[in-house]
Amino acid sequence: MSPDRPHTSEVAAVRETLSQQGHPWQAAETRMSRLSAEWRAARLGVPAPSAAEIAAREGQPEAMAAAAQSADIALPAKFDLRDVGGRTYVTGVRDQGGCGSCVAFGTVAAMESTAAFTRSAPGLSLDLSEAHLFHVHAKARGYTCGSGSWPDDLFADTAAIGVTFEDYFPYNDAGTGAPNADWPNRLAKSVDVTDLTANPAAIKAHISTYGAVATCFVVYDDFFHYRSGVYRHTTSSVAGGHCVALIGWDDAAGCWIGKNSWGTGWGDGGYFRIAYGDSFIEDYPEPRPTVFGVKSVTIKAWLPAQRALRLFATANDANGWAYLQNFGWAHLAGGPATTTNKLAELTHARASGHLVTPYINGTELSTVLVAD
Amino acid sequence: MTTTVPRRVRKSPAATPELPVGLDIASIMPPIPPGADGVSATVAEIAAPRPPSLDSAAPQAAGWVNNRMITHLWSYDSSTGVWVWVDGVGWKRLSPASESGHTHLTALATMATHDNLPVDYHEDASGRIDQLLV
Repeated sequence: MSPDRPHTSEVAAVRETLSQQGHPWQAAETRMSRLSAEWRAARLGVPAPSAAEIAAREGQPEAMAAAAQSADIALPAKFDLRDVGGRTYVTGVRDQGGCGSCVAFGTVAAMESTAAFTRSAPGLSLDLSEAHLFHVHAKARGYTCGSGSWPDDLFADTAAIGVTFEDYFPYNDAGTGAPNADWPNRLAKSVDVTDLTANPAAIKAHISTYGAVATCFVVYDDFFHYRSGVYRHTTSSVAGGHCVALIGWDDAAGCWIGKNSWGTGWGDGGYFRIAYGDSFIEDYPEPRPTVFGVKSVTIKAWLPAQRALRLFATANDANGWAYLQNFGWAHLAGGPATTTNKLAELTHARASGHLVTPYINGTELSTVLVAD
Repeated sequence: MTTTVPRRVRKSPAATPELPVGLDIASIMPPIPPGADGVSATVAEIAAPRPPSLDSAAPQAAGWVNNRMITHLWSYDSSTGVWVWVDGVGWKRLSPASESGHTHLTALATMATHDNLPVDYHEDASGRIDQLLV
């Protein structure tokens, strides 16, 4: 074995253990495997649980697994936000790099998914700035790459302050740069942040109703080498705490489907499946709540040019609506005359197929540009 | 020499833009109540309809009606005096509930007529169109 590839024996040991257990999941050399223990730990941005907290949670994994399997029978046995009627409501896998910013990534993943799913608009392709959430909001709370952070704090910031778009503050793990000064006008905010901690049925209901959920879990040393299958930890050696987004579940396999933020070179293209109850994924060993979703996401921004697929008006004053291809229904903002003007532009766009560039503020279509 | 008289070509309704698969319009704004017949209407070979009688009895309210064609428009000298001919149904007055709303309904009805786009509409208790989706 090459001395500069110490992980080779590590992966082999995990494989040997899995072999003895009948291959419940597959281990391989991932981009995380190749990192030193120090750099792996740098990517775990949830403060590690104490041994006492873990010991106090004896029996929790079994209880959570049972609760997940006996969840509301009205819920489907299998659900995956990447394939809802052939459409995906999950944005791309990101890479947090060498910073313990995973909570920002899990939080933003939940917001991006919810924004699209609640609007039935898979083409929304919202890309929010994890840098804004972590390097500005979390930093203001005293969190650093080394300290990690907690999701209740960051979700609260997404509701109170909001998160700008990635193009206004691109992420890098060093935290350099600053958001565009115009960020208050290019912003997404969480609405109705919901604590789902220790309630698998509520987690499922939230995912299938509103979108992805952010959760914290304990990372054991073998998790870095996960490639595919339903993960169950095979070692008791704890590396730290981590935050990801849950995007679905599969009762037959007894697992959650998660989206990680370690790039596509880890796991199954950046995704993973983890057994119900495993690694305390429904309730992190910590007194504070650690599983959150949001019920909607408001947007204030110019959106990319798109088609107006439907128009709607009523006999009431100033009540016009447009169904935008990648956003959904938007109310034409302003008074009666403004609505008339917008409707005139939009009827032309709707009939001719010309694209509409909308400025959205909540559900209001504030400004509209129709161009050849 | 025989002169060939061009036959009138019936215009087909324009193709409906794709909506997201599984889009449940009833679940998003604005709501579309259930109960519409959903029957596809075609542009009938009919003589141009005569303008409606303004003092005719109000027709029976039908709630939501889906997927119909508006083929003719008629207006008289009132700020809320526009009627539309719904293929297979007849003349329907656009609700006069507000002047701006009436103008908006007219704009949508005009587009639907010009571009042969099917519409969904809702009638109020007096049988007048008070909501229009194109």
